[in-house]
Amino acid sequence: MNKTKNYFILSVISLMVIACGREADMPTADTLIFEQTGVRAFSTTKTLSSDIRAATIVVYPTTEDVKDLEFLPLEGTTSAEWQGLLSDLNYADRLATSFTAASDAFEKALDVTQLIFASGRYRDEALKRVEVLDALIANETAKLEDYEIENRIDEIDCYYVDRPDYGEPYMCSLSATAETRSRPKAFYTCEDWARFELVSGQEPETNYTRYTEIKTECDKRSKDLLAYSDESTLKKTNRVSAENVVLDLLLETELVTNVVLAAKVATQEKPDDIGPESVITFSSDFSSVTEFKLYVDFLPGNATKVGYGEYSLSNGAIKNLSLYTTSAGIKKMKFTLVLPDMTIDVDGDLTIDDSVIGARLVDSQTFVKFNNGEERRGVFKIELDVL
Amino acid sequence: MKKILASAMVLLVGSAFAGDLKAPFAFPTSRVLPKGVRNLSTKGLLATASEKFNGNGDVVALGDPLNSTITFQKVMDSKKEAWEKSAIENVMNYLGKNSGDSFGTATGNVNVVATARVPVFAIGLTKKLTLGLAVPVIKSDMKVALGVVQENESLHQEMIGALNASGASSKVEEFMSKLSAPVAEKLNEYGYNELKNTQKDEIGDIKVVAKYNFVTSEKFSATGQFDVTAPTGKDQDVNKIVDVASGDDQTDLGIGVFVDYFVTPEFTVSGTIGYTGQLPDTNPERIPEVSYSKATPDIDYNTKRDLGDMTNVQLAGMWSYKGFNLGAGYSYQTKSKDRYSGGEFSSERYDWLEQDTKQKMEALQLTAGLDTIYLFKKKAFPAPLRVMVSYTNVLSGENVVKDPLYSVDLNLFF
Repeated sequence: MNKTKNYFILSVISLMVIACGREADMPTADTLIFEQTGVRAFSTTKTLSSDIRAATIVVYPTTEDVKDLEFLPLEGTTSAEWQGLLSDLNYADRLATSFTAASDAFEKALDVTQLIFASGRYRDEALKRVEVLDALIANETAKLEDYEIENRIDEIDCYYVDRPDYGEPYMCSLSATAETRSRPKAFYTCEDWARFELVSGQEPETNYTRYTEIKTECDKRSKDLLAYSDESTLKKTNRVSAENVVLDLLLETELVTNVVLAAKVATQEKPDDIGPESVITFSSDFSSVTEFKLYVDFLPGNATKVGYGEYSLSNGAIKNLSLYTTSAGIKKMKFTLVLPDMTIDVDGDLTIDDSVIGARLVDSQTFVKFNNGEERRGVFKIELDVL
Repeated sequence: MKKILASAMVLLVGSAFAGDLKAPFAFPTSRVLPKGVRNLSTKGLLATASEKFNGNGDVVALGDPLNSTITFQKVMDSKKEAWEKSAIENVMNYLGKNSGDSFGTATGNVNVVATARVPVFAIGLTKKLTLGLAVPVIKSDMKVALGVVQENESLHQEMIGALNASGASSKVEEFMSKLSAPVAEKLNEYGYNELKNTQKDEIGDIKVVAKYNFVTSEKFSATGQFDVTAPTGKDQDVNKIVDVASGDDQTDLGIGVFVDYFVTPEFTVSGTIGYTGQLPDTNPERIPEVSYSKATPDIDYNTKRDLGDMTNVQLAGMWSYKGFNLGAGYSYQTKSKDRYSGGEFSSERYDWLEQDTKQKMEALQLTAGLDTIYLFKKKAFPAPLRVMVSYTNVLSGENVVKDPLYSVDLNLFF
């Protein structure tokens, strides 16, 4: 009986410790993903100019860098450039235009870096718009010339009494009178026709209707051309302003921090007055770089060396350069750029656009290590024309 | 084998394993073991977790925190550095969008089944004092599903266009990847382990209980209890966004009073009041970046933590006749808010850890079973055993799991 009881007890104890787990049901989660078509694979059929059209080397300031920044750009000597840029940015109301020492440092850092990004994006968009405008101007100019020729606008003579002052219109009669000069004036282009005005009482004249038609059409076409031309000029001016606004802001920031925040690069758009411009030459299959020279100068702030210097593959300031393609087909270029006060590690995307943008190497989160031990992130960008 | 008294006892191991409130699985009793009598019992608990009561008392899916809209604001909030936030804000401004504009919704759901086997060994040291030791073993199975419902396709295309326009092809790839698996990408970025189905078998927090019967009469009995819960279980892994913990890595001290009123020899009304103090400690914690999300890359390995103390009140009735047992009970539990502090990050961020830690639970318990003590005395059964099955339904609560609890209690006296 005792043995039976013990076996029974042991059996019960065994049953007690046997695990009887249960599995959880597999849950579900709703999923809907759009077709993925965004990444542009790199094309190697195009040839690039070796001349660097434009370049950007900028360090993003941190909260610590801007905490003492006090800058009111709209009240300073560069206010015109700031106003010009802001007036052409449709989200200018979301950008800061004043920086005071009392304001929150993190918010200031956000505002300063926001302006850096806004400037870069504006420059790209403005360049593309200028290309469109130049095409419109060329197209409209050709059409205008055709109009001028087809409508023989020079055949309508202007009989005038006195030659006007410079810039003033000619007051004309459509036929000779006793007071008008013997030799009439002809206007050959619509631009000239802006100065072709009539004295009163010309309605009965034979050429009056034709005059009115040509005058109206020339006014309209000239206004269109002028609008495109004015906009193109504005965009080109503001592109320069956008870059200067950033340099202006970063120079002010360098005055209240201890790191270098921007470098200037001699390029086709912004050449050095006395020295060469920066170049980069790729092999035909974009597997290597045969020449890479950057001529770099710094703002008169925290840089230990001011004045353009050569930083290149050949003198070793550019090193560890490699070109590779990611699994998504993105072409990338890596290298280290050693500058007097910092070393920049670039791992940028190389893209080629069919527009005037051309080719770009862009790293918008490049690593910057300063010689004093501090570290930052920044942007490195170079632009090249496609031949 | 020692003589077994007719009155069996169940060693109360308490309703809370560790840290948070759990549905109770034991009925209150003031009974203690007679001197020299030993009791070995095993409680088998089956708990599922798919729904919970949130802080407002509303029922939500357990995976509710995994479901959130993906807006410009939330993407900016997830970035730490000013330049990172500005980069996103600039694209938003360039596209003429606002911070609340959404790319879609991250979706997710979690189902958990936990089975606890709790062997309990108790011994009557004197006729009034009983000591017990409970060693829970927690077996858990967690299943996870993650997804994303992308919305506003034109915004996606505009965003891709803007990134391509700036020459940032890598950013396009990153954007598409993050919006295809937002939770997985974010967890990876923050240094969490991959969220996946997980099975575990772990020892929980071991509990030592002392019960002293200070009043016994024909109609009434009262017992005081003191217990210590040791941090032998494992707290949630700080590198897992969702983890079933078998313990909370800290020590608890509990006191309670149990009262029985013997209405008739068959019917007893019992009640208990208990208090468990969770002692403060330091613990690695993920410190939230924002108030609305617990996911964060920042860890403070020395976070000062004081888990909220717990109170419980139970009232139950048990009917026993010739080995058959039926019972019903009601319990009400509360837990005060946890407190966190530390020196690594701003105090506001530690305060966010405290959100949704105040708990409340009302539950209804039903139990039925039989014991062989009556038959054992008549020598009609080889051993004195007791088997009870219980069901606990969570009626209402705040920040507690809603799912019911099932338990099997097997007792052997010797």
